[in-house]
Amino acid sequence: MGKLAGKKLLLLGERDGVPSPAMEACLKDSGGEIAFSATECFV
Amino acid sequence: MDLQNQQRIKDAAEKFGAENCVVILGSSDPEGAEIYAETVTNGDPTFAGPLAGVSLGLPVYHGGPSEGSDLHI
Repeated sequence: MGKLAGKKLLLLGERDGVPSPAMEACLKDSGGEIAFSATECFV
Repeated sequence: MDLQNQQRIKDAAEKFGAENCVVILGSSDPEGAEIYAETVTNGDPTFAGPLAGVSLGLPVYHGGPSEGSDLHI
């Protein structure tokens, strides 16, 4: 938690891995600010 | 990495400063995560996108499922 405090978070999710909405939910209380969030798909 | 996302990462790093940004990956396979990480640290290895030749040097973490169901970074 501490290492993300005050940081701008750039989330690169993947449909077959961890999608970005799930990452956003997990990181909302991390102390960092989500600046960018996207989910990529390779199908 | 998607070319549009490369541009967005580049814009965010320029706007906020690379030292203030952290990239978190949700890739399902290590090879994909490695390419993502290389792209946002050393530049696009395929020299096809906006990050070609651009070394942002952003810190990268991989967030994947741990043994439980929580996201583990």
